[in-house]
Amino acid sequence: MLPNLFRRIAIVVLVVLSLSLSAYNAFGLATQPAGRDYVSMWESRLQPIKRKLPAGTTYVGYVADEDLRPVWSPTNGELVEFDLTRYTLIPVVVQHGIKLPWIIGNFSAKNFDHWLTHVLGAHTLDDLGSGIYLIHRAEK
Amino acid sequence: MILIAALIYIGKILGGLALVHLVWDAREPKQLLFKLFLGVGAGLGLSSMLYFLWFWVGLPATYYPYFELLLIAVLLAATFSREFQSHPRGATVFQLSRPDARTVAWLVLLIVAAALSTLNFALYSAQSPHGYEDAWTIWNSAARFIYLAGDQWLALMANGSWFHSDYPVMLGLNVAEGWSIVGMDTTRIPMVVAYIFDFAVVGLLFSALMISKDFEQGALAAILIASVTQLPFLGAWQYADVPLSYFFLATGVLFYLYTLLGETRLVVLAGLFACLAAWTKNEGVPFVLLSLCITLSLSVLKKNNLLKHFGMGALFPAMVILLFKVAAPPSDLFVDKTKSLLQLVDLSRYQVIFGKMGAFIFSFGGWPVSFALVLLVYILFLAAKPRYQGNLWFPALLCLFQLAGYFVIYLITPHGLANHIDTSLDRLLFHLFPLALFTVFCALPSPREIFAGTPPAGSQASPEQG
Repeated sequence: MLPNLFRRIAIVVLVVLSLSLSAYNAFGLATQPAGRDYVSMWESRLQPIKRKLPAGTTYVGYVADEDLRPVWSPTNGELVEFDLTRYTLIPVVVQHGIKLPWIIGNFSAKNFDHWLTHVLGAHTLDDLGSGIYLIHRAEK
Repeated sequence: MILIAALIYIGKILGGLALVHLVWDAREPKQLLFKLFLGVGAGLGLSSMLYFLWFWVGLPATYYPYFELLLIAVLLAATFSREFQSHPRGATVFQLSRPDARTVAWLVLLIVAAALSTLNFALYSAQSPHGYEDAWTIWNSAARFIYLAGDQWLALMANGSWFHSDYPVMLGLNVAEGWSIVGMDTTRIPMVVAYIFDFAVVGLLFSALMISKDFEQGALAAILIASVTQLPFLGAWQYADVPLSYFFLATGVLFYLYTLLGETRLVVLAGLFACLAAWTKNEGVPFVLLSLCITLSLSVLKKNNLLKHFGMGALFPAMVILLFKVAAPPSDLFVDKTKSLLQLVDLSRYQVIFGKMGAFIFSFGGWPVSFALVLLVYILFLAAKPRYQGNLWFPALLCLFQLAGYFVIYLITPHGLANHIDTSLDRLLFHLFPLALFTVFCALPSPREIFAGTPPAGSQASPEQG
């Protein structure tokens, strides 16, 4: 059986370790450069969409760079951008695809005109800046 | 804004405290403190259930906070009225003795640990004010739909309008109600809700050990849990894992206290808190079944039908959960049952899961040194003479079987196994961490016993000896 002294030391060590590691963590967080708040950045980016979407729109479509590839294989970053778009536009429901009258485009380069005309037919395109587009499918 | 947000939830907590006190009218200061922390879960949990029912019957959301305020006032009035009737002079409720130097020292250490944990929470929150990925894809998405889509949110949930729309909405409803009261979807509200649960986990563990062992053991365990990195960062990420761990802890402790004190009203509360776990995250559903098994075992052991007591606490929340499950879309975990069954006999999956569990447990805690190893060494140093009252098997079995349940979920998951484990196991371990810590520290001798040779000052009523 261990002498009581060792047990006392164990208690002291546990307390000191706990407090010092918690302080160490706080120090590390306080001194590291501020991270990027992606949600707030994305909200600013999509502000024009919120203004331009007609009132009462419940569902919108979404297309992005990943749709231009022969095989749909989004990167993790592209999936996150879709999630951010969904979160930012609540209570509007964002659905991936082009079936809905209003569609959000999120493209890193303006190389999608031909593809869009091919898959969508007649449409109007509103360039809102920062790679964000509001696409409206023309009435047939 | 933070102050207003805090005030919103203080009302709920007081309502929860009143309700818990109406069920279990223990009056010792340490029991009252424990009940105050139980009031957090009872208040926020039941209030969100009522808010859900409010939407369910189609009442206008703007009136709900007034209804809730009225309900809290009625609960408090009923509590005070009963207190004055049973203790007309209002005396002998508290008899606080003057704290000795050791108690003051432990209190100071506890305050320092809580302050550091709060600082960590604030720093993580400043980095990601909207929380982390699951917050804005699941938990806060639900809250935003509830707040911004009004009475349409139930229909939108049924259509799977946000990621994992089948997940319970305890957090979402609490956040949405806060937003509707302040009139904007500020990030401060989910931050405050997250912090309340962070604080409640520490407080509940501390007060539970105060009852079961003594003040110093409670303080030591609370210092330890407050110093683990997962607590502030999972809180600041605004995930539902900390609230779930809170409900697991509350249920396990209530079962243990029943074996210690023999009061059946504790089983009523255990039924309530087990169901509130299922109202917080889907992992709470198997936990309710486990809690039922524990109740059954206790009934046999004590020769007392405790199922009716458990049922009394569980009835209302279980009904609300059932209503929610009817409205919510099905879970994506059980889409292909044949494939899941085949995975059960795939031995390579067992190997992967065991290997990852070992690695995750070793690195759990976010410390530069392995927290599990530190705790193991500490246990080895102090475990020579475990001395406790009551039956610790029940909280221990809850932890073990819930962990076994997670193991089975990994076996049958339709998602990529390695990715599923990597993105969830540390959170699943955290669910069980406070209850496991309670069990360990309940069994180990307290600092008071080691330093002063004094036996634990916990309740002397002891149906069982460990």
